[in-house]
Amino acid sequence: MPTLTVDGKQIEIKQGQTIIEAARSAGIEIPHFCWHPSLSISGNCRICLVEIEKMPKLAISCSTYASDGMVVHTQSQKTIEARNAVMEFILINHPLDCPICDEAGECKLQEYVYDNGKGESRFEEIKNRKEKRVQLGPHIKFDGERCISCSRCIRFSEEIAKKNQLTFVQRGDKVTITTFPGESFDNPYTLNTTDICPVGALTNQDFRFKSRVWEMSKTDSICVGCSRGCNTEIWIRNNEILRLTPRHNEDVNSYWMCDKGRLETFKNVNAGNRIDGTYIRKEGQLQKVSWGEALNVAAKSLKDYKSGEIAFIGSAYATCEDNYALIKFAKSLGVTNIDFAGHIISGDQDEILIREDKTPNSLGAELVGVQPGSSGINILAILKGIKEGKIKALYILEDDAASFNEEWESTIGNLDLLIVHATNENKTTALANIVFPASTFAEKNGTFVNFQGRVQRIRPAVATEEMDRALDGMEMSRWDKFGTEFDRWMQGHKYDSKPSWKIFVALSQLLGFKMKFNMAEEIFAEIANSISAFKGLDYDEVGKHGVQLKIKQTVNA
Amino acid sequence: MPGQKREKDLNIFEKLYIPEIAKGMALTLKSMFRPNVTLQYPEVRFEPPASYRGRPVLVQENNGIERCVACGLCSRVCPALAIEVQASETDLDKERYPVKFEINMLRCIFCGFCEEVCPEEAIVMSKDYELVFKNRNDAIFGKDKLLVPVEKLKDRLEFLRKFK
Repeated sequence: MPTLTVDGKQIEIKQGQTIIEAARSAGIEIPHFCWHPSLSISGNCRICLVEIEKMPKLAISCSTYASDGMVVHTQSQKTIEARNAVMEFILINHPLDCPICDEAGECKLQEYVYDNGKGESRFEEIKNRKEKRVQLGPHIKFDGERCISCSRCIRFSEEIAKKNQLTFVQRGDKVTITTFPGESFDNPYTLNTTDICPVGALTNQDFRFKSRVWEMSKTDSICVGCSRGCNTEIWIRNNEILRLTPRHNEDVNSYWMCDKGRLETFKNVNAGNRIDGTYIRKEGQLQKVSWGEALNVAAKSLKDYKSGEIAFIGSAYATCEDNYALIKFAKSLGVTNIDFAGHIISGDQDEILIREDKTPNSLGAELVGVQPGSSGINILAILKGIKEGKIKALYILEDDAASFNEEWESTIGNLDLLIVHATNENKTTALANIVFPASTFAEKNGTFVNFQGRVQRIRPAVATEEMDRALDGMEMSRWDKFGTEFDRWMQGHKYDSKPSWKIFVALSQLLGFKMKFNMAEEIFAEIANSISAFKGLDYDEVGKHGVQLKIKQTVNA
Repeated sequence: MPGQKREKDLNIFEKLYIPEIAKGMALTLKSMFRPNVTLQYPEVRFEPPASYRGRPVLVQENNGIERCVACGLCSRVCPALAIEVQASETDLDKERYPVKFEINMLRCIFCGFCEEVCPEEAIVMSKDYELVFKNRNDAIFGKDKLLVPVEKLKDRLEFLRKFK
């Protein structure tokens, strides 16, 4: 095996690896601005200069291929001097507006200046003035003065988003980034450039000035925008989601996620139309009642119907655990009319990340068995059954059946009993007899199976009334740790909602069924025991990056 | 204590006590003619020197706009977590301003770290030491109570330039 020596450490190298990659694989981080593991090599920032023995000059580690017997020094005096010089050069025209800049706290330039900077400037002339607050595209603001011309965003839009929309214009210290004439930076992946921008030149319009990065806690999660299931981080302050960012997972989404997933999938969590508490229809109006009353009424009314008159609709938006609890509950009632609806926007798909199946868990719902039993009927037959009066009671899990089409909307209004689990008010909850508030993806533990058949975990990031940030082991910021109920920055609203499986467990206890789950993990353990695709898995095994299930073919649901 | 030897035995004059009493009386007498340091508060108020750390306030420029750019460093450095800042965007040149700036005076320990860390010299310790509240909510000072015109803070700002 060819080996490379970096700072006295022997590293085995693969063919075609650069020094920076080899060092990184051994845990040695060489400073870099323009180099990114998923983008082509540009080599323009020069901060990654290292000293290589027997080479006359320092070389940039991002584009120098590692070879056998090479001896590299990343901390020698010569290297550090060069690094300081590059730093000084970059800082000549970089404004000192960290207090205003949103990137502060996660800025590479700030970090390296802290590590390598001299702490004083020899530059006495006036800094270059460039355009600030340029609206590059619908979601992105660009600050020309802060830009250090690393070209990461240009390479990203060319190589990853496959849209050639950005370019450098001018030369020398006047160089700046712009879109091609008449074009807007509007591809579906633009916001990834705000993540890879090493400084605060490109900022997310939606998140701009909302919070300092160190004030938030971050929780590993999964995007629910489509069946890709991009790995994400949920950023929380005062129990409110402020932004989503992609999390690296080479098997699913690499470093990226689409703008739609980033901006739209979390807005419902703190929306004004969240269902907060249980509701029952009394005298034609939905009225808020206690959990006990709602559960009792639901249990009692379900008993009034024969098993053939009841149908259950699972959901591709809900977790495997929720769907499994639904099946178990339905089977206890003797109901076999179980199915779920797909949400496919055909054609809305690309070769990068976006999938036409707009639900995060359609494969998971199918795998855990949300499908008609031996004598049961499927979703179209359920609709027909309701029309004919054969199906009198319908139980819908986290899906908006009334919005499927007009036929559904007019039909389910005629039901005798409509029980709905929902996160937000929608057309279906407006027609329901009983509405249970379901926790969103950001408020519960669970698993999704993406279109590849990869099972991935979501974790609670937002506290609900039944979830305590400290007791339930959720991620906490410094503010969460030391706050009291009297601090205004701790008084973010907690919704009175529960994960759907908990509602099923409570209902089955009232009806005398044997369903005793205390944690989502226990349901997953039972799924792992009873369904072959999930065999031998548990939450620890699934971990941060998910596990590929052993299924014969991926189902294009 | 009986039996225990003193470090130093009293000499004859000290044993007599009378000279010592006379010494004490002399000191008392001397103090009677010294200038008075007790202030008849609240009729007479104490005017602290510039180095005094009263309640932290925000500097308001002459055009009515706060200096603060809501960078959040005061909030981060505050050991008692007394400060909450919410930034927002403004059309002014400085881009960023605090739409909400709250100091919980029940948490504040008057350490002055916020003043020390501020990159804009926007939060300074005032001379205001009279802080009375009837309930918890009154103790949370918003921008309305925190903003103080720059003229009134000249003393402190000069002090900071000299010694910070």
